[in-house]
Amino acid sequence: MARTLLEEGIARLHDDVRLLHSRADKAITDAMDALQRRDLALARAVVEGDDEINAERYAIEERCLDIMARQAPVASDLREMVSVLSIVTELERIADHADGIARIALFLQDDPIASEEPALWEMKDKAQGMLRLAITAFIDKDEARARTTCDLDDEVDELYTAVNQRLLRRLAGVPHDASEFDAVTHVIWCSHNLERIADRATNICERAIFLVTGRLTEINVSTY
Amino acid sequence: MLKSPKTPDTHDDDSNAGRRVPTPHTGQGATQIPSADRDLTGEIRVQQAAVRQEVGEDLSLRVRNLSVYYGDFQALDSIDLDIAKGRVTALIGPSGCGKSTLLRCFDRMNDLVPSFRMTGSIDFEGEELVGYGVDPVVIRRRIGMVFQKPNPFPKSIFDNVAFGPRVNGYKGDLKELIERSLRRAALWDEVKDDLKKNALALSGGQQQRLCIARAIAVSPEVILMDEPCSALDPVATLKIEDLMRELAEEYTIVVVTHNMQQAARVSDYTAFLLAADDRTGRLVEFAPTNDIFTNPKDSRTEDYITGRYG
Repeated sequence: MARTLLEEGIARLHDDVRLLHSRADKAITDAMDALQRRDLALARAVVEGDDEINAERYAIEERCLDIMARQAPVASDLREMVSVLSIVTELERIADHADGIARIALFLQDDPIASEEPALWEMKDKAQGMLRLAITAFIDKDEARARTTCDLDDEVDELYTAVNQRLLRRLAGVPHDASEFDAVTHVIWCSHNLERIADRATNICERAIFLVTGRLTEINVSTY
Repeated sequence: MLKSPKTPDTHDDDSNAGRRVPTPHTGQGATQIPSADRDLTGEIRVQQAAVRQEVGEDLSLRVRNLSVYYGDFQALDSIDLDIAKGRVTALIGPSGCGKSTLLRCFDRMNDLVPSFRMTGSIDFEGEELVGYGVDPVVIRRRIGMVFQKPNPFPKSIFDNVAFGPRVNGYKGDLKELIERSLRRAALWDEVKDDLKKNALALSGGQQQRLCIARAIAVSPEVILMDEPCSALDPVATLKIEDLMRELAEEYTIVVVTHNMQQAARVSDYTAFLLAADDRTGRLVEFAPTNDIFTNPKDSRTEDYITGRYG
């Protein structure tokens, strides 16, 4: 017995996941570029592009449902479907975090405050790296890579703590109605978005591990 | 337990010491098992230990080291299987894997096949089903069978269900028993107004439910079903499946099915059998149905249930 239709469907879903990932990844890059260069047009493009990512996520879910309804996948095929449904949700949310960062760029306008925090770009690079590794681990069914990728979350968490402590200290003594107060809190939100992207990358790793082992486990629970 | 004769490939080392092998009927069979199966047998034992733990000692049938031969041909090799009481156990596997042969061992349906022989043990509530010490008639009163093709007698609906109780000299209220059995088989409402109607005039699905009513009329402990829905349409199939779930509250059910989704839908435990190149059927994996269909341990189970076998 061959399962050509099922296998083609799964291969297509893998392409879909890769495509959605590259869109989310580009949204992160663009949002952070907009923040650094105070490029408001680019920030607006990220915000506007989010609808497309949401639509693509629903389209992938529809394709999953179609395969489940018509091909009745079981065992690893079924785990594949469940994992894809979960991963596209994570990717869509990751794009929402990028959208959040773009909105912060729009709020800050020409205020350079965010670009003066190089740790944010370190967080961004690490989070994007984790996300890439997580998607590869899922596509390649690589449990070991999924586990080592989760370990990287600690580095992002450490940066997050450092950025926040520095910014919170700066807030001390700043009057609540001062524009600086709003600006600093928005930069804190930006680091929070990046931290959440790394967390969601670990969620994707959990799905990669589930796909291989059939076990649903939470690994490396974030301190945040 | 006797050891198999040594061959150049088979070393009787420690890893093999715990394995029970039958005396091969023909000097082949057991010694030809590839070593992968040997490891697997160990794995299956572990699985079964887990199942026994889960259902306690509440087993209806306990199969140990069961081998079946038709003359020189070995149909089943060293089957170990626990059938939990009050549960539905599905036997799945490709054609020729020996699942129907195994089912038929439980009510000694193979007895009349010339050259049939079985070794090992099937413990049924403390009674040994393998060997000459059993009366197949008594066993079949306690272990009923429903076949692939509905096979009602060419008699009235009433007489079909009354057949077993009459043969057994049933002393109670026969009418009440017939109604109870037909109700239990979810057929009563459709036939109650015309119990004199010839059973052959019923639809296929109704006939199969009549056969189930006939089987339960003698109050068996176990109901064996050999592809009970393969001759039925999807609606009748789902009715029988509902019925199987209901009956499992009172009876132990063992069902052989080619329809893997049916096994997934109705059974609590699933056993996957497979015949290797020697055409001898072996148990590959036995586990709670949920585990088999979400995360099978053996790649051959995975290949079969995902449709990539062969």
